[in-house]
Amino acid sequence: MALINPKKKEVQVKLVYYGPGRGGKTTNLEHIYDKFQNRIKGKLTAIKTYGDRTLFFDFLPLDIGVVKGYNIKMQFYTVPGQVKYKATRRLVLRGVDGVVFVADSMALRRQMNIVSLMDLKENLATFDKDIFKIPLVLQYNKRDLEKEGIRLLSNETLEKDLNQELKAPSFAASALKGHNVVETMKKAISLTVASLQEKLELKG
Amino acid sequence: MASKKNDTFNAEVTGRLSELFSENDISDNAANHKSPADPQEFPFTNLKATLLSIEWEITDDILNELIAEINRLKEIYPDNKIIFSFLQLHGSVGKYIRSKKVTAHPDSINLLHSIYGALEKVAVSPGMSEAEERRILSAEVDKFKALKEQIILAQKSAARKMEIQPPEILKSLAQTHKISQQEPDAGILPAQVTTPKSRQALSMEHAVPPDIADATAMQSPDIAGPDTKPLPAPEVSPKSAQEYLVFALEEIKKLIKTEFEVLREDLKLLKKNE
Repeated sequence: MALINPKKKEVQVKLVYYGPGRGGKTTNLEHIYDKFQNRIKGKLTAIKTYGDRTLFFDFLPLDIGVVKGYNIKMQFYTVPGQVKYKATRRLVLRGVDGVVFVADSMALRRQMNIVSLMDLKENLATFDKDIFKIPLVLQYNKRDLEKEGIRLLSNETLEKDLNQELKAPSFAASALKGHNVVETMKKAISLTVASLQEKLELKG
Repeated sequence: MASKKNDTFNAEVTGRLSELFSENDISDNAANHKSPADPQEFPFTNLKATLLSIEWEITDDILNELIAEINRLKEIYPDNKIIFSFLQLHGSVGKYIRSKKVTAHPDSINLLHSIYGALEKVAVSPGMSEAEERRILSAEVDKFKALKEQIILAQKSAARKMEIQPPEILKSLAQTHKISQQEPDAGILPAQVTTPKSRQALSMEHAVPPDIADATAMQSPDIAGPDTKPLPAPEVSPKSAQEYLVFALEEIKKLIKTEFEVLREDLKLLKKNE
């Protein structure tokens, strides 16, 4: 849940990038950080303790500026996608306000996307959050691999597998190349901040 | 009225975001990855696809697919010593991962990607001199050796930890029963701690399973020289109930430590933002 400080006129919003391991969640944040680092006051903090895999999480703070008289401070997190870090994933979801689900477009990862989305649904439920109600954006990542001859799932298949019921906004993207990375983030921020509008007005 | 309010709010947010993420005055540092070759003609496309899909949660099927693809390529390149050696390296690491699954050393996955990167570099550069090809291969062989050493060290350190340190729960049990260090109760403490000698005996007792033995029996590429040995056999799992208990306790301790570290980070961030 967003932390609203009426005295300081400040809101902290938590947005989590979720999805299967090696799906490109960290690459999304790295792209944003690399591209806009002169405008981002905070630092991308990657806590990596084992090889180059995200075992805990990456964290990127981003000040949006003033909206409705409140200074909006976004906090982006990624979660470890590996099955064995389920407990950490759940912890990172605590207090989440919005989610970007980064699916891997590779045909070989079809089942893992579905498993990971189910995992998200279950973990949100432990915090009394409904996947159908929380601001959610889907990203179908790694579209660039098609040029390398790697078999990818079509957008239609991904929509059918993951978004048939959710009907969330979705983007075909390439985090490595930066395609639709910013668009995904912008959509997630606007959906999430809009979901807080009522609370901001009440506090204001 | 409410709709108008929403529109104003959304417009304000959109405006802020457009300003924040505008393309003016930015340096695009995003990676510019180039495709090595036409996928229709590139013989290693399937290998790359399989390697890219390797994950912790990967199934035996995918790993078997990897080994099968390596074997298929080996049949195509029996006379190309350099490519064949790269494939052998892939095979050794692939079999090790297949045998250890999620407990494989994380760097082994990175090594697979690194070996592939080097193989691709050699394969797409027909004009490359043999000396250069050998240099690239040697660099990967060195990484292979380094990983092998890391695995051996990690195994030794884990074994030493299990041999020397009695689990915390046993220590507290001892305290509860007021057992002094000078007068240890042979029935409780020492009997539950595996001695180096008994540990060695245990290792000898549980021979490496045939599939793992197969993985480790893989010969190193000729180019690597005679001193290159296959990746070490995976650790033999503890077999007795006591060892399982010790193992489980270590796992629980690690998990608790991890969760506390996450909580501490959370708290730090909260304090920082207050």
